[in-house]
Amino acid sequence: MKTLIKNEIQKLRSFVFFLIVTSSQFIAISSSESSEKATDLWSLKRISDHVVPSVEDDSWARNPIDLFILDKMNGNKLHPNKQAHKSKLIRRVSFDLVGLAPSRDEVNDFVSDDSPDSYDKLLSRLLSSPHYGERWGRHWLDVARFGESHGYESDNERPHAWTYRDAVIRALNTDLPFDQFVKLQVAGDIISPKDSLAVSLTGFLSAGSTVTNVDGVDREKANYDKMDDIVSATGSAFLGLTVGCARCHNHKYDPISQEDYYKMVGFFLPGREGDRELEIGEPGSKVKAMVWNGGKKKKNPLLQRGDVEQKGDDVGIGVLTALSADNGDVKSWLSESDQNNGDGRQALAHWLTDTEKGSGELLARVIVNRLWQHHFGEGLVKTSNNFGQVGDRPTHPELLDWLSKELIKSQWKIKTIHKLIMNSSTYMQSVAWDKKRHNIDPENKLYWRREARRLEGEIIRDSIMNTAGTLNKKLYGPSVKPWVSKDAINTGSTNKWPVNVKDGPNTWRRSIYVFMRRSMRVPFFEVFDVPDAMQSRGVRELTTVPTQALMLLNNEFVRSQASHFASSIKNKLGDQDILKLINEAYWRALSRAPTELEITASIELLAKDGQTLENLCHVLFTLNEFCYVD
Amino acid sequence: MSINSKINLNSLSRRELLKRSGCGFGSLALSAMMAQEGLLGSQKPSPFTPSKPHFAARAKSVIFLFMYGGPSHVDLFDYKPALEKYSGKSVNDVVKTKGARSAGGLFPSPYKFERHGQSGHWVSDRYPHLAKVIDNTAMLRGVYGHSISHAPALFEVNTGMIRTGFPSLGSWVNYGLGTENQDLPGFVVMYDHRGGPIGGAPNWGSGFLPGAFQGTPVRSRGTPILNLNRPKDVMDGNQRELLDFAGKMNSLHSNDRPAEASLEARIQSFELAYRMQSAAPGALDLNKETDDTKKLYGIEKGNPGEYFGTQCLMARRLVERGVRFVQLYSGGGHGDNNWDAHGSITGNHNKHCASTDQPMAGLIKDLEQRGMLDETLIVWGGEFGRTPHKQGGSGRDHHPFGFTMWMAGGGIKGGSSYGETDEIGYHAAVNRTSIHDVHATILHMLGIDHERLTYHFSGRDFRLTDVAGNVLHDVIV
Repeated sequence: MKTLIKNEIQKLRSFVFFLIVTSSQFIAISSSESSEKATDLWSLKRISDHVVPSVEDDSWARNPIDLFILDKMNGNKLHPNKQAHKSKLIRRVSFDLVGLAPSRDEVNDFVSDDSPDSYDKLLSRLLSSPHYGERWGRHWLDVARFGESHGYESDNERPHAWTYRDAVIRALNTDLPFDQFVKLQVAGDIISPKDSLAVSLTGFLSAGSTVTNVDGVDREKANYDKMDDIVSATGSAFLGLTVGCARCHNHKYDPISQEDYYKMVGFFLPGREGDRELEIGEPGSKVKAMVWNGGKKKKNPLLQRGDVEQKGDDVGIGVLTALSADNGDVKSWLSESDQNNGDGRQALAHWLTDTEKGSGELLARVIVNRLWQHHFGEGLVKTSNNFGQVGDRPTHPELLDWLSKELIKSQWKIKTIHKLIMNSSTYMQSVAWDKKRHNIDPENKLYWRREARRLEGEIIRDSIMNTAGTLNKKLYGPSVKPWVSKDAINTGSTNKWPVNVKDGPNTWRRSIYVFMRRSMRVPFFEVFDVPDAMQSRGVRELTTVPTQALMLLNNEFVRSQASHFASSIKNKLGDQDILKLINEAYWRALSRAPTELEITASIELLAKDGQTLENLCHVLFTLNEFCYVD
Repeated sequence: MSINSKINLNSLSRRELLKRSGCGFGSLALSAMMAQEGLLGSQKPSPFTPSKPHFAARAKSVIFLFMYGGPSHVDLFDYKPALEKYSGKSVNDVVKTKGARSAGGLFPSPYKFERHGQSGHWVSDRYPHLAKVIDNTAMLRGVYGHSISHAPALFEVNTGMIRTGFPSLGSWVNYGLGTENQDLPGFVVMYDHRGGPIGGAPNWGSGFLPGAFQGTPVRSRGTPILNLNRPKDVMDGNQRELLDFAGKMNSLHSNDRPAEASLEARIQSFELAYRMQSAAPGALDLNKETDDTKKLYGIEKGNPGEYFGTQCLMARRLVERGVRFVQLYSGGGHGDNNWDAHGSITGNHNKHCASTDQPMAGLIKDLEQRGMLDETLIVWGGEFGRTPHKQGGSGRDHHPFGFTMWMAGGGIKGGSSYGETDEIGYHAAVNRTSIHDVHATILHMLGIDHERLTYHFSGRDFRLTDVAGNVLHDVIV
């Protein structure tokens, strides 16, 4: 009988689930007819002033974030974990902010520092490290679909594209207010034409793929593909909206009309990607930079069904009507002469960041969500590039709004939000797990524990070199092409990567400086889910496949780093005291001393025929603990 | 602390796994796995251990030929002479539509159709080679899906759901049956040399199933799997010792983090990688094939079938070695690099048909010659078909409301067909076939009852076919 009832309940559950799924599928079809009903989309609504909730027992809370989290958790009979041990915390914080493990001294100093502001000092030190910009710049480059070649069949290189990457790193390192950062990426050349950082940030518009080697009508089509790349990236990166879906027809889910789309195209149609000589880096040093060259006002027809042969009326320039106080009109942001002559991108810049008359509040929501995502592994809105109907809803909408307000209040200072998030108990708690709480919230949606997070492909590579002592921490400059096996280099008509490169300090750079060729990603990155830069990417895939294991076990680069690792510790400590060597190896790889058991196992391993210190060093690179941070 | 903690951990997570696999199928898997465990004693247990199906299987493995971008059913297999009659007319004048987003007039196929073989299946002149073996296929001409966009449509065909987060067909099959060859991944994905499909890895992901069941992508140009050779200065025995050392450390690490499924999957991936080192090079080495065989698949330098033929031949070599599920993608990246013929049907499909025709026909013939066709199920399809009306100059738009898939081998009744679209190929009209039906049939051929293959997650037992799915008995021998 009991089983019978259970079965019935199961059926009922399945049925309810079926209703949910099928109704969402129904929406997928029925809404293809029109885009007009979606105007109550949550993300387009104004940010409301949410009162920080008060909870009965707030002893765990360190700041308002925790109160928002506790409020939701308490309703579910959950309680959060205690703070992680300081030795764990510093590894977490270091990887999060600079993408490098803390050194032994750094760990010991922090653990032994009893002063109440020791954690604050740690955060400040890491936030002012130049490696902060490298770590967080890489997150932005995913969103900016940054690559250093045209993509598609011929995939010509763009030798000056690195200047955009450097501009992003510099902007983050100097904590350029985020609204400025956004403005300059769409119109830096107009807003601050004499500022080389501003002008090189316009590389955002040029950074995507470009169809080349086409003629006639195909050339015009290719140009509209480029427009689509820019409009889509602008929508996704800044606003989390899939504006590109309105290219051929009104957006099927979100309130974005085809006319909105083409008005956005109008800002870019007069311009083109190009290079300009700028003073970058050392004072007086001129380099060619990838920029966007704007143009003069131009006729901008709406393309019916996205077809270049079906040109409709000139729609001019404008912004998304659903996010505009002036029904999409941008004249108020432009002088008379701007309206008549320029391409009007400064108006787009203003609209994107204006919290009263434009899309500034959505901009704030989208970026604080990205910050949250990279601190916790998942955003409050899981689909960080899609805040539309098809995207996920926020798990903690009040917290998202509160954080957005904090960002705006802080004059859009990103580092302020990092500190706020990282100072919360929500962030600082341990990974401890128990079955009871797991059963209540198996996916940890309510943040009752911290989850171990896998490092990205770039950071695994950086960590291998950092551990081996070979990492060249030089900042900025043209990209490098490290060694890649011949097998991996396309042996087709054009060689897309140099063969027989000899690795050395010049190529042992942070992975953000590795040349991003769209058709020939470095296999290490390809296998570890680094995106292909064909479109803006908010969330990376996270696969676990045997080809990753083969990379870490057998790849020549990894193997040679293991040798460097072994020689480096032998050079430091001599090769007599095996205990010392094991101890040092563990500290370098895992930011901690080995346990008794690990020491015994390591000694046993080394005692076996044919085993070497190199092998022990190598195996540390493959450990789960090396690639996952608590 | 016991040195055997890895084994304990594995057993623990397998028990957990089995507990989740519900009462029906799970108990079969349970007995098979427990027997294996008891038998092998101290050897490493694996979630891939083959287990018995619910009933006698017709097929041992599946080769899924995925035509990414949306191949046009009305230009390939679903002949619609009525389009001549209605040429240029608005689609809304002929059928009730669900809001056509491209409103070009109805557009007869630019290709010539003829009946072929004893079955009399209609095939367009783009597939001369395939037409010769068409009697092996069962045509499903009344398939429909739920999304008009690539990514959700791909997800539906691959996972049964239009949203992400659900396990793919190949991972369900591996979860249910394990794999015959423990030295190769049970689920291999080869995507097109021009790039992967939209949506990427979730198309072969394991969703909420344990990560070890996800598809392993192999490279589609150059060397298929990199880094297969041990570093020169590491002896085989030494590498095994290193893996054991890492396994021990990893299990200690996992003990404190039992909820992180990816950690366990990662341990499994290293074991599989180790075994692949000896098994994979041979499996994927086409030099072991005769020139005649290569010719059969159209693998000749400069031949349009060069790439896809290579993939098809590798697929045969993989299933020959017991790989359970192989998915091949034709078409990759964006625009006309895949089957997404918005601008011109001939401009797009001429190219893609030519690149797949001989390879597909070669695959069927080769499997037949080797006596493998009976136990290998071939599935052909894209994420949707294309509109009977025109888009752009002479192209067609996405069309999920009625399109064609076909199956061959593996217990499928060659020459049969099921389902029809209306007179212009717009709606699936007769014997409408959902993707759940297609999935239920594929599982059935493998001996799996789609209603009993379940996984408990987030408070309910999930199925590949959700709460739907009918096995298409009309196309089964």
